Amino acid sequence: MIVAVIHINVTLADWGSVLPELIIAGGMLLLMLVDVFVPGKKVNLTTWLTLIILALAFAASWNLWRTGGMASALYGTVTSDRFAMFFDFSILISAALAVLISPGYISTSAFDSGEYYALILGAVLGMMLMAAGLSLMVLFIALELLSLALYILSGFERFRPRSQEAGFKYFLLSSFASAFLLYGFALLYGVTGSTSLIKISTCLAGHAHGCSAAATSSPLLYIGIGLMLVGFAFKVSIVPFHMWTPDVYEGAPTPVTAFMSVATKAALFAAFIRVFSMSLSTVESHWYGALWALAIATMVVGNIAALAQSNMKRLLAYSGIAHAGYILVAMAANNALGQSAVAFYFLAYTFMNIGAFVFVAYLETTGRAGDEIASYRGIFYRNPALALPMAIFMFSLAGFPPTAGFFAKYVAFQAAVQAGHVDLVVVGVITSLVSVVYYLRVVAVMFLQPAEEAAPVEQPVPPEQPPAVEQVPASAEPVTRPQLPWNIDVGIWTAALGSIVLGIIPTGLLTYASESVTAVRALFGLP
Amino acid sequence: MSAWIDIIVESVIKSIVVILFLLAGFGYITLWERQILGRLQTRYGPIRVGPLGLFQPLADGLKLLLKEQISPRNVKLGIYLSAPALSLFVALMAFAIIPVGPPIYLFGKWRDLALANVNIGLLYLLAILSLGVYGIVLGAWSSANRYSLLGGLRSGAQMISYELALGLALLAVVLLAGTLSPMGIVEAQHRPGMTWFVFLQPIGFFLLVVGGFAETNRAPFDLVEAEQELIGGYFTEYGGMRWGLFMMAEYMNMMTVSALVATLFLGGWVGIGTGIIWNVTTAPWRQLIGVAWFLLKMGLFIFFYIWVRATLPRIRYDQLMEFGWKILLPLAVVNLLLTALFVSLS
Amino acid sequence: MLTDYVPILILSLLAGGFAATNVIATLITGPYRPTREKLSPYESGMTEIQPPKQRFPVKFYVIAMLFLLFDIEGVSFYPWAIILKALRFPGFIEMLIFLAFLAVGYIFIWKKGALDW
Repeated sequence: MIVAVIHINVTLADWGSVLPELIIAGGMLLLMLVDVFVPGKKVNLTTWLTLIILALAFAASWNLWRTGGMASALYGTVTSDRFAMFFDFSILISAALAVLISPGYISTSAFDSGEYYALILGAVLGMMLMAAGLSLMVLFIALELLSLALYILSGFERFRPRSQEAGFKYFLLSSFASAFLLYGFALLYGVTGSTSLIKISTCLAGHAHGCSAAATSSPLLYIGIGLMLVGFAFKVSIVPFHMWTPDVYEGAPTPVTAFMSVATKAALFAAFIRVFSMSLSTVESHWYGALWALAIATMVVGNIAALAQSNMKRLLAYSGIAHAGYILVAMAANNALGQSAVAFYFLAYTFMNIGAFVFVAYLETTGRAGDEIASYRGIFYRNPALALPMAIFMFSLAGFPPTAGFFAKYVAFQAAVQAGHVDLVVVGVITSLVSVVYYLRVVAVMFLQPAEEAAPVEQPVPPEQPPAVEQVPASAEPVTRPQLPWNIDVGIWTAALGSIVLGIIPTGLLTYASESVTAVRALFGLP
Repeated sequence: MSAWIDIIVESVIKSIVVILFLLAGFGYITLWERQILGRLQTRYGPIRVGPLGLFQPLADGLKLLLKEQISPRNVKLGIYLSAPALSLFVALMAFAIIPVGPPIYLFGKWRDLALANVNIGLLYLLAILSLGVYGIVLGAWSSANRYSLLGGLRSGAQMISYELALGLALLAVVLLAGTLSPMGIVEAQHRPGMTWFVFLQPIGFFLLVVGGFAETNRAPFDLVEAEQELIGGYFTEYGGMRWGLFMMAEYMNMMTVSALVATLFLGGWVGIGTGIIWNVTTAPWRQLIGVAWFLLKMGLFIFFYIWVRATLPRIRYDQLMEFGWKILLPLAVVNLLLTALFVSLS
Repeated sequence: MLTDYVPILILSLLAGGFAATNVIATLITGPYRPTREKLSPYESGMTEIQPPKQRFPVKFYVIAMLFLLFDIEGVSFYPWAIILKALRFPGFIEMLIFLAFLAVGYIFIWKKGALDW
């Protein structure tokens, strides 16, 4: 038998371009081993290890950002372009913030720290691959990797029925959505004859050899796009595929909720953009209408449903749905500005949304009621170091000017205007105004005078109340000022700082974001 | 068109031969087993029905068919009835890819002495063997009986556990041969510089033997049908020919595993030595000699099966599972790694 | 080639027919005189108190899941095994990396006690 030699054409540079992913993967294995070989309680050890691993991965991503990375590596399956790196930053920062608030959670909730952190890193690995995937296969495997880890994490507090419910519900519904996405991928592959996103785009543009011109009008392409749209919409909780979100966010352990509410969406939107806005850019007319309808439905339903929430985690879930709607507006613009707006939006969203969850997590771990908004009454006087940053997050989420949330939304809407989709922007602005009501209600409750011992906690608060900062008499002396644990302190102030800094000096980052988008658009032959 | 007719006629003839061979094998292996067990326990086995007891299997089969068949009250009848059929079906299918001799020139065409010479033969075999667990588990579950359920669960867990090591052991052979076709593997053992894989792959051979015993639920891994504690395990509620079908499946699986051992590790149809009779490329009647060699090797291994049953005591269930997962699986991986290192460097 | 599989198709028809015939034969041959006791589930001579609940130790589920995991990994070795000669040493190293992942998982489940019976 004559044996031909197959050369494996992978250079060190290929491996270098997935170095952040490799670090995370290695770290995950390390944590699993630490979990079984180091005896006793080891929350501190594992937390620090996880943070160090995330920091290393961040450094590696930063280095790739600096050098520009490789446009396509490992046989064209992954990329390390700046677009991927930009989303990696969001994912890594949100993972680090979630890890930071986990120890308190682990000690009160009696679950195993090593497994927990290994699963977090597994999800991070999936998300980073999702942001970097250039092939439908990689995208799907990354999706499964992150989803499986998140299913378990959602149900991690297995003795609390709510957490079980969250895990199970997420598993059943989300695996169904994965199937939709997979069918969509399969049909897309069937129509274009390739799993590579770049080859798909050249095929649909009619440039590829052996790719029939009928591909763009094939009914299979329509069905495939529809199925993929359902899959993506489900995973990033877009109306009408959002039903699972409030239940899962409420039931899952708060650090996990914080993490998945930001990082999952970031990763999925990165892939969403790569597949739809880049690869399927030439057939925009096939999917623009659906995206338009989804964006409007998401903004309207998310914001209106949020008005009725009395639970902070549910409120943040609906707020997350609403924000997905704004991001969808930027995506629907389908121009370079819109795509850089999405990238910027996620960096801003990372800080403001996770910050809000840090606040909830702290109140939960100290046993002070936790996620009922009514129980936040007067928290400013007990704990100003907690309440002030929270106010910043709420303002930022509502989109008030000097904060990150404002600029994120502004750029998103600007992109839509530039593309001529004024209708979307009008809906976006109106629903943003609605959202001010529920965000500021939280702020108002916090800055109200503390309730008397006997007073009913669920005193209704008029939602029209203006920002209550000015109402607070400067002489109001706090009753007690407990010291925050250092990790909550660090977490919440990092997030607050991020929300403010991105709001005050957004231009630098916006430039970076648009640079990253230019690179990836060039890869797909777009202007 | 005539090519199609040729293929179909050839297939039908081969299929009938395979089924008859397995059936006859089943009958006479049971007789053989009882006689050998008898001798090993210093008594005679069944020798009175016909000369040397040769008609015993026929009498047994007739008896099974004429027995009263009852289906207990709570059984799920459809599954209960189809489980033995499924077991038998899987056992019959497994033999399809075993080559029993070198190709033969008949009616103007070279024909393989295997039912099907597919290039993924080994993968096919593994797939079919792992289907075997369905018949057992379904039969156990549909019987609505405690002993059955317990036996079926044990059997399911045991078979899947040992399948891992078995699969990895076969992988080492595939590495050496560079093909999944059993025909190719037999030829690979006789290339210059190669020898029977039992010498190159002693660990793989050991793994296949142990895994084969576990897959067929034979002693010392037969505790799923442990009559002392489980009244027979999964077939507690089966009687007459329905029970007979499970037995048939078990013995046919034994034959398949023996044939597999002969093919993968003992050089298949090729004999020992280099004389004119054994020269597989030119000697006349070499097909006949090949088949004889093959049956000899297979028979030796079946004898080994019976011998082990008479000698070794049954092992405990926890030991069985831990042996499979904690010893055989790592052993198989190490064997695989060493083989892969050797192959990749050569 | 697909014609290679024609014999297997034909064997499956014949084998299925043979197996089905045998089962159907059991319905026809032999006497059938059921009584109440004869049709009760076998309990070593005891009266059955209640039908067995169809629940069993969770260990079996764990084993089944682990089997799925490792079996899939095992199957993914097969294509590699066939072309390893062509891949040479780099192919070996690549599979070693894959195997390292698998090994960590194996050590993990062992240490967690999933393999203790």
